[in-house]
Amino acid sequence: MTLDTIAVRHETDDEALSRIFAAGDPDALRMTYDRYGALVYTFCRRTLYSSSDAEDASQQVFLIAWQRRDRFDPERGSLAGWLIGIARNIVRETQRRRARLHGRRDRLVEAARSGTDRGSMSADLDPDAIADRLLMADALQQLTTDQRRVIELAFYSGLTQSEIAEELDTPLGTVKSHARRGLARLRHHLEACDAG
Amino acid sequence: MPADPRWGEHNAEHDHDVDLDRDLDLPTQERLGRIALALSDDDRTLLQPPPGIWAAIERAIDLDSSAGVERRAVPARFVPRGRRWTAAAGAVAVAATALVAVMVVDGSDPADETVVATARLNALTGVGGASASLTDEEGVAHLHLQTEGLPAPTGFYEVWLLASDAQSLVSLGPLRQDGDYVIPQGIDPEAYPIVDVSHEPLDGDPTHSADSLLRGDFKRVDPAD
Repeated sequence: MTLDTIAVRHETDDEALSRIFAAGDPDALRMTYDRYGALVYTFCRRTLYSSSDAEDASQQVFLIAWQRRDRFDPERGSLAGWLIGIARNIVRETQRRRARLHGRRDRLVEAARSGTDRGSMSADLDPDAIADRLLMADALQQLTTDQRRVIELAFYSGLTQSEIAEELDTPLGTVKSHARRGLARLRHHLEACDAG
Repeated sequence: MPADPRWGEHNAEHDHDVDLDRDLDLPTQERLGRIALALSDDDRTLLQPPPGIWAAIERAIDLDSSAGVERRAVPARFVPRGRRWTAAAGAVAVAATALVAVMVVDGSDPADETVVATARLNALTGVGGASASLTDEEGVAHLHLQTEGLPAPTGFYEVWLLASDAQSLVSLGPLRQDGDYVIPQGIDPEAYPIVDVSHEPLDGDPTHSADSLLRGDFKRVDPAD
């Protein structure tokens, strides 16, 4: 067991997980599933209206990600972004296949059952938008408390950095540093590598 | 104050704040802000994946390593669907009720044909429907299957019998016009109480595509009726 594996076990450190995944550590796939299984499944379930399609798609995401792990570069983007990038391709493919198979009737049926089958569906069904939001929610969770506080004050309250510094009674330089690191982490997390 | 993802941009007095991050261009900051503002509770509450998914991934990986070669990236060709079936059945109940036409079991030749069980197949993807009967014809078990509303396939449809835990399955062959399938000798229909119709691509792979369209449980017909 590598040091990174231990780091993942004990801290759920996303960056360490990315490294052992890219390195093909035998435990990495299980840990990756433990960490991101719900994220990937939620994405598939919210973009594919059949639960069996969502389950098949989720399996494929992890299998493809594992088989193509040599193409994953932790420097270029997060593991979450890479997985969701693959999921987006599979979802698109499944949607096309379903559309071909069932034609217009599919849409009629979907319209008729919306509201019963898709309890957790949001009004916004665009897979790319759902992918961005799920990754953002996950990324915000990964920020340090200080980073998150600064970022949320900026995003949700619309405060400037000076106002945030005042609000938190913190030096402006500290606020700037939390903001910079926090934003960089958010961007990295949302960065979806090309799944190829 | 309305939330403005553009950090400090809205306030000219704080112009010096705009360059909060020289490493990150303003459009990127704006984009992140827009996404964050669009978050709903749905996005923060993840759905727990059903336990079968990891099991299927593990099986597929095991297959890969025992075969000693890189296989193509598809999940285990047939995954357990006991739970899935239950969920799907509930989920499509509304659509299925509207779409499935109950076909009357054809008992035209009652002298040497006894209906042992019947099944109504639900549309797992909302399209089509079918009814099935299992008959005993002088000691040989037959499945009679009447489908309805299936679009022309891009490959073909195939008929299967599944064990109740969906761990094992028997192919009865491609969907036939006459709807008559002989259950292979040595197969006990009681051990395979589920009828399944799958869509199979023309890929030369004889295993189940995991793309099931119709499925239903046999219900035993009481001989007293």
